[in-house]
Amino acid sequence: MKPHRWIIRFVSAFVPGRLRADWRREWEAELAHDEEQSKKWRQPGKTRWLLIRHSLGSSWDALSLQRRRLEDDLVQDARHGVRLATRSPGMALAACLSIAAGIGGSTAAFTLVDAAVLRQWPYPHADRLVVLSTNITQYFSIPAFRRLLDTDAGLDHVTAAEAHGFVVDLAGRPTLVNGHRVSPEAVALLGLDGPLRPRPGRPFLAADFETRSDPVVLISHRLWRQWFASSDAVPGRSLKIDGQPARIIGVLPPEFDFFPNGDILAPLSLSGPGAYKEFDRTLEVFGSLRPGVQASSVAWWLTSATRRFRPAQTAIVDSVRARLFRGFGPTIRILTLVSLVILIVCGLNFATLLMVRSADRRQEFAVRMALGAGRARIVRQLVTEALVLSFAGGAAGALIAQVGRGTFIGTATGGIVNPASGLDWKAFTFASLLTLGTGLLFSVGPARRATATLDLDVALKGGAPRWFASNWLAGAVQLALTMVLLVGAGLLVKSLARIQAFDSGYDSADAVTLRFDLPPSRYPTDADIARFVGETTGRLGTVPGVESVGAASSLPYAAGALHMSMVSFEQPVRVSGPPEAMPLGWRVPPPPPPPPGMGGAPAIEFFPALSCEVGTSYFRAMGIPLRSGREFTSFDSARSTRVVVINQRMADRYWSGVDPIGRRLRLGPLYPWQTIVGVVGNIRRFAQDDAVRSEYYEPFAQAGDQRQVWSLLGGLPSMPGLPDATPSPVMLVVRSRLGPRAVSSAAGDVLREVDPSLPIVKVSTLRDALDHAIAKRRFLLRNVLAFAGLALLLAVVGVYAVTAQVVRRRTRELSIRAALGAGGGHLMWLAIRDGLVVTGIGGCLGLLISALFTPQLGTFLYDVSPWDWRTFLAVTLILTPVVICAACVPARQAARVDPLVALKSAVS
Amino acid sequence: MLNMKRLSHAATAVLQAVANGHAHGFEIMAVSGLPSGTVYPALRRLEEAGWLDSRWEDQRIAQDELRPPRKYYEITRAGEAALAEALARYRGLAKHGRTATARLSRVAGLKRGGR
Repeated sequence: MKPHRWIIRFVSAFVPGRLRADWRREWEAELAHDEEQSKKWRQPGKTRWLLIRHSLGSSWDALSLQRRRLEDDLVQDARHGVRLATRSPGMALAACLSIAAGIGGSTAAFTLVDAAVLRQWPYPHADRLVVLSTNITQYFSIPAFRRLLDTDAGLDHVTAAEAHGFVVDLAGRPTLVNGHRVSPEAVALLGLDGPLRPRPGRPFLAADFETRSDPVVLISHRLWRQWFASSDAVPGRSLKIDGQPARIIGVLPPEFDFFPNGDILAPLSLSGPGAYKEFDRTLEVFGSLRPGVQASSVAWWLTSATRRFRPAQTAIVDSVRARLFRGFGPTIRILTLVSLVILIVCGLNFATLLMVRSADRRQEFAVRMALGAGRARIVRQLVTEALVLSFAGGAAGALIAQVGRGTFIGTATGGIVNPASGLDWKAFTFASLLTLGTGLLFSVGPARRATATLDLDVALKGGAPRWFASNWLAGAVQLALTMVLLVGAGLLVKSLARIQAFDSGYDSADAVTLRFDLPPSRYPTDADIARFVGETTGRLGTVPGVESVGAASSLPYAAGALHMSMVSFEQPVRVSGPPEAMPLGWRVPPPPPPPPGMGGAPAIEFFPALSCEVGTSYFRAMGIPLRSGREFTSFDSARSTRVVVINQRMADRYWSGVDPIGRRLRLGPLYPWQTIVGVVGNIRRFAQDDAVRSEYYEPFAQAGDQRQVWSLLGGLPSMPGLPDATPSPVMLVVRSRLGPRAVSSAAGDVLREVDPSLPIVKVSTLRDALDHAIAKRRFLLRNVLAFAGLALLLAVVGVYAVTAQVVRRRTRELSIRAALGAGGGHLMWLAIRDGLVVTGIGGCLGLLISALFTPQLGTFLYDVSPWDWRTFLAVTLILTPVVICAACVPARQAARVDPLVALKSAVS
Repeated sequence: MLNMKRLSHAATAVLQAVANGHAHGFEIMAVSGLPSGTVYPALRRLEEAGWLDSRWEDQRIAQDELRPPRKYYEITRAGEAALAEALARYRGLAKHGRTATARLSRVAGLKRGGR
């Protein structure tokens, strides 16, 4: 074919369909004429060129016709859809809402998956970033890190990072800002000189890492915004950090989230004071795998390389990302499943509503078909109308998901992922595609069905169509899925209720907690720590509004210095009950070795018990009841008799039926005996659903013995959580109605007198710590519950619509029955009978699917079987009456049917 | 309805050509010297405004000449009036010279008014 014809044919595709045939005919005729004329007096080559040029002008013509596309079928159908929607707004609103809910839920789940799994990390070696740890600890000392640097195990840019609380002097007030110190390779590993270059400012240079260089820091984008109002003049400014001026050299870009919740990045000097401290384990070590190297082979290499120093140690190499997201993987999986279920429920609901509506419009279709419209044309129209509704709903859903995105992701991931603000285009595209897909999937079926059984003769007379069996199928599946969600929500509610029913053992209301980390340089001995504790608690106790103040080295749900010790008793004890479970991740420590020269002595029996140090009025401040004996007093000092207070559990376990007061225990033959002076109530330290364990408390003033003995024995590993020369944690519990803000400012005043350079590491409340511990559970529960409620609502709407349709469809039959003497009750029964069958089928199906689905909830269930029959029964008992009610409301119309209607329509 | 004030030079030329009896697209292009990309959109707009009428050529004539039937345009009464008015304006433009050009450009809704 000649090229100009090709051009015309191609361009005609863009001409609105209605005008296309005419348009093409005119152009072809003109070009034919042109060709004829041209041939007479031009060379053939020139003719062809002229024709091409002329035919290209047709594209302008086609363009000028675009505005008439508005009158095209598609737009006409869409307009018709909008008109119809405004005519029956209730139905349209219901359809829109169900799509909005489905799209909103799925988009939210998608943003979560995107943030956690799909999103490209901005770091140069994102997919090869690994974190090193050992089976003993995830922290390394500087000497150990140096050895790692010397080992060539297939890692590049091996970097150490040390979490550090920077005390920043902000207008005379010491403020704690969390951050990290990093070794020189961090610049290359995290792309600080590449994609994540500080803006404004510069990355660290090699000179910044030298011990004698001026201190410099990079600050986070968040800090820049909050403290410096995003001023460009920030690089070069000075801040007083940890008592000495440090220059800000740059601002990290907003997408830098390698250290969640860290706001300062500073250089780590490897030749500083900690350089030779083997037990000073504070460094996390990161690296990037060399291309082609497997994490497992690196682990193997490192294990064999360190075997010389640490025979029992195996190296673990973990993907940074995997470790970061391992914690909330189950949440994401369940939420994704739930959102998929809700999407199907919403889609089915949408389809049901469409079917009901198209059943009402059969007469219209019949007229149109009688006038010559093809079935395809009507199906197309119905689908277009459905798409109009689904896009309206989808837009609303996507908007909701977009608005709630930050909070949603933040809560779901425990603040680890901080989604970038602004419109999320990926989620938006996802939502649009999903809307289109859902709209098509759930509208083509109803549209085809609505026109398939169209008997023109009957329909034109306004007669009843044949029954759509699949309508009920949709209803049944919808009910079944609703049931699944309700069962899941029910199980989660039950678990949470069980967990919350546990007595934590202390009074969590009105108790503010403050944490201090006492640096070993200024608090080298336990006497110093005890003095600090005594002074701060004493002074803080005199603040008006403060009822009592207690101190401890560890509090429930807060890290600190909590030991798992092996103790032996002076007199033999009778152990009652099975061995106690270790806290998650803890192992039974080995008993101390026999002292030199006592190897042949009879073996001493050791028992595990948790221990921590507390101050004088700790139990009163915590609200832990004293069962018998006495609390610690200020007379329990380093020079007096060693005393301990044990918990009820320990008393029951070893001195069942005997008074434990006055009994003695010790950590080993070289340790002094400690006399039990009191018994206090049990508390739950790690989780509400955790077991209660044997515990004993020692006064701060007497805690020094353990460390002295360790150093005496030499070579004993330090206790987990308390490496040598790390700061000693001290936590205060302030019982007061003043609230965290007032208490922390009062504590700040006290600190200024006791130790002006010490910052408050963390201010919290016992209630917050408790809530935080079940936050993940509660978040999931809230979401599943919301979705289940939504599904229930949709199921009610669906059942209502279907029953209403039945009544309308059978009005004639019902009125004839009424005319023949059928009572209202009987008519109503006829109307809801089918609905009950569907409820039955859907319910059974739902129970079945639930039984398959609930094991997915796994660890979120506590003390509840995934097949807990009570929950299943309860959900059935809730769902059935609700569904029956939804069917009864429209069925009441059936009971009130007027026999005259039947007579009239029989006449017509 | 096509706005009178927006009857461009090109549209006026096309209208004039049709009025002169040049009935189909390429003939109009030939006499007006305008490219196809200008003539056809103008024809569509004029037809839509009711100033031109179109009809398909008789099938038999086309068949006799061994070519596809063409679409012929002819000017309507309203089209003639519009043409007359437009021509009057353009003549006025020629008479008043530059001042009139400025006025015309403003009337024509152009962004840039000269002095």
